[in-house]
Amino acid sequence: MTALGLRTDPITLEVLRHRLEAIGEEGANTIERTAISPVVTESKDYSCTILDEDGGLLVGAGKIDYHYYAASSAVHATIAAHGDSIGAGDVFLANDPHNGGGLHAQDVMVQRPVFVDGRRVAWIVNSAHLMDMGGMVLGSWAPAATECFQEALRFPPVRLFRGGVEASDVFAIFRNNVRLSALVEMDLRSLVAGCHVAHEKIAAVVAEMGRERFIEAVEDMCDLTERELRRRIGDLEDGIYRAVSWTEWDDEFFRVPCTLTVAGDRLYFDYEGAAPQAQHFFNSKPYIIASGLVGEICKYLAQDLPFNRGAFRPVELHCPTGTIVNSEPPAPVAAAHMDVAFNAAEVGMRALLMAVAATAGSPTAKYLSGPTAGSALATHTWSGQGLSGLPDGWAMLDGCLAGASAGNDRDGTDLGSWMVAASGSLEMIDVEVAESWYPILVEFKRARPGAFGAGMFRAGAGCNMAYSLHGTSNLSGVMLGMRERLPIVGMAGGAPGAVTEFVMRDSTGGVDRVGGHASDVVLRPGQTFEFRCASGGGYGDPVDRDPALVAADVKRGRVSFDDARAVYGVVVHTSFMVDHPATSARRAELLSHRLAQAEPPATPITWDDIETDAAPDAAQPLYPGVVQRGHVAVSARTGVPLALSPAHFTDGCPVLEERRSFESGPAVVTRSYLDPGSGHVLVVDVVPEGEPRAFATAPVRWTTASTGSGLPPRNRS
Amino acid sequence: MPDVAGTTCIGVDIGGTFTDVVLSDGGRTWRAKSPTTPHDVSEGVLDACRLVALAHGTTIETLLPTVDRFGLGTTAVTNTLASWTGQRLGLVTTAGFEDIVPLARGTRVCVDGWLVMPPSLVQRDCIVGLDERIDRDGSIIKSLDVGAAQRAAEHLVEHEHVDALTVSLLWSFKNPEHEQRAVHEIRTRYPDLLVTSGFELQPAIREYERSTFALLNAYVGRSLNGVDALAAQLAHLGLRVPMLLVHSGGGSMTTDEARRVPIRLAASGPAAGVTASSIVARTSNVTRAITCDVGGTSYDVALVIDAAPERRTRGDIMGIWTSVPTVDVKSLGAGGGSLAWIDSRGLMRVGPRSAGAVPGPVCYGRGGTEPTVTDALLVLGYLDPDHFLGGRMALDLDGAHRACERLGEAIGVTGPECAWGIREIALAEMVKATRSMLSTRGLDARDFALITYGGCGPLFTTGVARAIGAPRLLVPALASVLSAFGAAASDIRRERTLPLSATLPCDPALLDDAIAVLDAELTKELDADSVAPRNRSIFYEVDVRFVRQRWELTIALPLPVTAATTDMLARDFRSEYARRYGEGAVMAGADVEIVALRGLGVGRTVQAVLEQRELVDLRSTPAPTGQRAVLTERNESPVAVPSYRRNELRPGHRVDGPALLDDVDTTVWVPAQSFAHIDAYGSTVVEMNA
Repeated sequence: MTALGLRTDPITLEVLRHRLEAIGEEGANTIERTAISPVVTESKDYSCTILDEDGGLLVGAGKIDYHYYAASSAVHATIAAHGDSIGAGDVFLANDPHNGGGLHAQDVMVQRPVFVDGRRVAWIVNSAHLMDMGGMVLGSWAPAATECFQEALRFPPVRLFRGGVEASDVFAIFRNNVRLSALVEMDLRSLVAGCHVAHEKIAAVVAEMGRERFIEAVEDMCDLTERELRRRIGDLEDGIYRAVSWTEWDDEFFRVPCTLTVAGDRLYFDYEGAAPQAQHFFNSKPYIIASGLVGEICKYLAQDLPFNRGAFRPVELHCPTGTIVNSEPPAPVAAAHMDVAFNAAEVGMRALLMAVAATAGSPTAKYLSGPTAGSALATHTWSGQGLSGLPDGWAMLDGCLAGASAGNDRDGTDLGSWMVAASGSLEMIDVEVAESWYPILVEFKRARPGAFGAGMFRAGAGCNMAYSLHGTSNLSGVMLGMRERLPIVGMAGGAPGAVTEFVMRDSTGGVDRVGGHASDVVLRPGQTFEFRCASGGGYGDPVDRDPALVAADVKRGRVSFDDARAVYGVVVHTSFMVDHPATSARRAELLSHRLAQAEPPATPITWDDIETDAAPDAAQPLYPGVVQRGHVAVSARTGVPLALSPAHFTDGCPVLEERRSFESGPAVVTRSYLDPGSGHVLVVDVVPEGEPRAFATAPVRWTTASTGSGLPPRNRS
Repeated sequence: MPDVAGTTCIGVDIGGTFTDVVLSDGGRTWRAKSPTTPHDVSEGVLDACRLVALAHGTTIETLLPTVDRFGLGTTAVTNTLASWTGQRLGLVTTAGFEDIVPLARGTRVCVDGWLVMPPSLVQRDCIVGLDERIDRDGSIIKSLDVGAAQRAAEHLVEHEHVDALTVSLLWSFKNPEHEQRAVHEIRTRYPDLLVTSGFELQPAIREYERSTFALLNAYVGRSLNGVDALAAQLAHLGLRVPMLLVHSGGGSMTTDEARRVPIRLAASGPAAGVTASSIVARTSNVTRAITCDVGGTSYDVALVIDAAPERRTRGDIMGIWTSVPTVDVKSLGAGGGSLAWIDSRGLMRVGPRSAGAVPGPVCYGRGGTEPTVTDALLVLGYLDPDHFLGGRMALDLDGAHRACERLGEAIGVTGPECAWGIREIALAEMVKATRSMLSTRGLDARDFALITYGGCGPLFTTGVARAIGAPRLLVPALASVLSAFGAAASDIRRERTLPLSATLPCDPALLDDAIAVLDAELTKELDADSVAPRNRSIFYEVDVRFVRQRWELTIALPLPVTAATTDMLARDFRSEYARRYGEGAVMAGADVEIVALRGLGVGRTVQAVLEQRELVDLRSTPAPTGQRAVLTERNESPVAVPSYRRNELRPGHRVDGPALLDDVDTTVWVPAQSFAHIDAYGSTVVEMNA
């Protein structure tokens, strides 16, 4: 045992990590060099994962970290299905989330065991998004499908190669069932190529170290990640943190609630109360939820730690069976990692960031920001006669480029759903490349204008693009839009972001809305199709934004003069200079107007109502802008009391409500909880009408604070 | 090849710390180093030239008028980019696409845990769209009103006060009419304004890369002022030939061409080193080489295949993705000055933070307290504390020991074990970077020799060679001034690319027509460079891939082009592809397409050559001059390793490992089961599999 209580010395461990990472990178590089479709080569939707002999995650490479844990799950299923018959030179394929793998049918899992001296020592799993896997529509995302059987060709774990020999029967089935099979087969083979390259190198490492030492060392490596992550979780304020979101399908809302319990060095995410599984393709699986959520957690808490199976051990999930987070056949699952899974990760992270915000001196507090905008995809697919005259089809991945939520010290980035991460994921395709491949002419492609996600720091803008036919007679489209009605919230009083919009314009100027899950869209000559990606939320009250930054946004056409005045309270001259006296007056007017318009608090409270005979306690954080003094939640800005333990800290806040209704389905209500002392917004919540608050922060320190320990009010004369 | 005998060539490399110079008279070479003078680089260059003249037994005033070639590797453009002190730019583009450049194709970089936008060369306020449109076939969909172009320029110049302007319109490489008219209009209106055009500088598909390339050239448009000042001073001192500058593509260019496309100097220094390595490779009959430059803060790795540096046609320059033919150098933050530290898991890490020149490694005794890679090498016995830099600098061995001990305590290992770990971890990182370089191209390390230079390079790179399975390693005689040698010895190299789109086999006329276009252009350019017709040659290569792949393989195109040639291209592509990625990666029946034709115009200039010597009798190999106790294996005691003075070894001498060969500014580690010999050009060659 070494000083760290490990069996392997710390130097060997670090050297081994570099070697494994190098191998993962080699596998990933090979995939990118040999694949064909832009989804892989331009948008980088692929990965190479190295796992231990039982499928435990050791190292992942490639930009889609979402795949790594799914790869683990795939190997478990392959071992369960094939057991002792798994041999050297076998390569397995699986793509059915209900049986053996993948985030959805298109993300195939190509798996190769590594044998050294006749014993299995590791696995390589490569995955990429294939353009089509058969089923009702090109791209295998069929909004109309009500069962998984309609969606795609579904492979349980089967052999693509047996003992190094190609299983040509399986390739034949594959070719016979997928569209554009020539393209798709090249991509599938790129995954095989990546497996082979990584396989040789892993085998060499194990042969050099010896099997026993290798196994010990990778265990130690994972133990270290686990240990350090547990230490960091242990620093978080124990308690219960809750957030709710809803996945949409036209006018229906499906509940995705999460209750996070922080207890010592463990995180427990409970999705009890999730909507029953539905006949829509967003149904998910627990391993997919875990894959997304733990990946997100580590971006905030452990970006500097190697991401391996150790990271999953301190985190426990409960996904009730038969719900949208744990569906069973025949539930359709073509977007098992998208709508619901992104929402699940989002509410989980919202809850975790509330725990961070409630922890005094947390090193993670520097990353406080609104939720990631993963749940705001506006992807869509088109098929029809291509430029070559043959049938063609593609996914418009520019629809993945939502705007990021704002951080606590910076604006969100444009066209990038993630703000806190070690590397970006999807990249966009050049307009000229898109036009040379696909029969379209782009009218514009830009950062979506508008005062969405306003705040002291504002959200980034999503992609906004319009195009028409050019080189074909018509195209059939399938929309994969999320968040058409319910925007992503912000943090600390920032406003919610934009919602997804698809529209069709005709030559006479008529504009039609296209539904986010429409599968019968036809783009005809003379029409222009436009999509506007959603965005995350802002951070902090918009009236706290530096007026110069607002003026800069006005100058570049991002925000209108009117919105600058109405949303930010900033008066900008036509010369784009800020009128400071008018701005101060306007902001004061906005604040008092808010208080005048607001509904009274659920439980009004003043210092006069509070027994404060005990010694004053130091302020401890509860939420950005809200501190706990003894048993009283207090506005950090004005010092006025908001609530008494154990109540929700917004109980004493006046509430501004805005209601947006639709032709069908429930309205969406935006509630701004105000600082009663000033009218500043402390927190904004968005829910389907009739739903209560969708967030709660209840550190044990707050819920158990006894009455009588509050601070004598400073403001009381 | 022009006759080099009796010609005098000077090569200069202006580095961050030192300005190096190499002088060649066609037979012998001399070298010198002088501190770089950042406020006015001319001073350092002239100092270095004075020193090398002295070494040659003459003066700079006598030497310069006799010089036939003066080559320069310069960081002028790199510095402008690194300090973000270029011109304030405006951009005129197609309306509806004004956001394309600032959005940077969605690329985000991680800074302090956050994903942020890469730096932008042009502010969004300074981008104006023109209402015009051309489609994929070059047809005009919407005509351009040139008045709008003029108004856009007026707005940018008068209201946004831009210093320079770029025009880059969609599909301009397909039909340049709109862009040319807009550029003409603006240049007429503002004759003194620097206006760059995407079409003029980079006529190829991908609007983002084309625009950033034109913007980068505008951004560094005034960076060559210092180079111009140097040229004037050299002329004043008697230099009669124009300077040649080393460009990022690994060749030389005239100062006129540099002024047209200054961004091609962005990687001048590293390119010069790799180019020099390619000359070393050619003279020593090495067909495939991995070049490793280990400096104070970084490990730079590149490839040389068939005596030519491997280039890439697109990549990033200071975080800005663009399209520029560049020697493909991968850089890693691990060098002699890299600091070792303990991370939050309790494991040891090395770099990317570096001790820099001040305080530097602990053993320099300038106040450094955290152990660096250099300290570890000293503790392990690889470095001689009494003969560092030829004995000009005494190293503090005790200090280095204590620093390693302190760090070791934190993870429960002894000082020497800690030092061993620092070297192993730095080595693992270097191996990772090297492997990645090979794997992105599907290449096999066993076919490669390493060529290594830079301060502590040869103490590591034998380890890299062993780890990746490369059989041989060369340390050139001029290793410490290799970039300067590259500046003295690289050919003039012009490059022009034409986009093509055809499935193979294709009509040979398609290639012939394209060749005619490139031939005319390159001939004109080599004329402009004053290369005599007998000294020039033009080669062609094609970029080939499976239909719609993103990455291409580059294949030499033999002339004349016949139907058989295009058949052969497809066949060669398939077999090379299978060799790199495995038979399983190739799908029967997939179409192969040709996407670009590239013409390379090479002008062979007078240039420095490597000194060749007679091989001496192996048996005259001198005895070791000393021995050092080196801790080569972790849990064993140090081994007594014989050390040799490198300057006492002559071509033909052979030394068996383990051994250390100490030169003035570098030491070669010859591990056990390998041996070193000196080849006819003075390179130290380590055969890894003795």
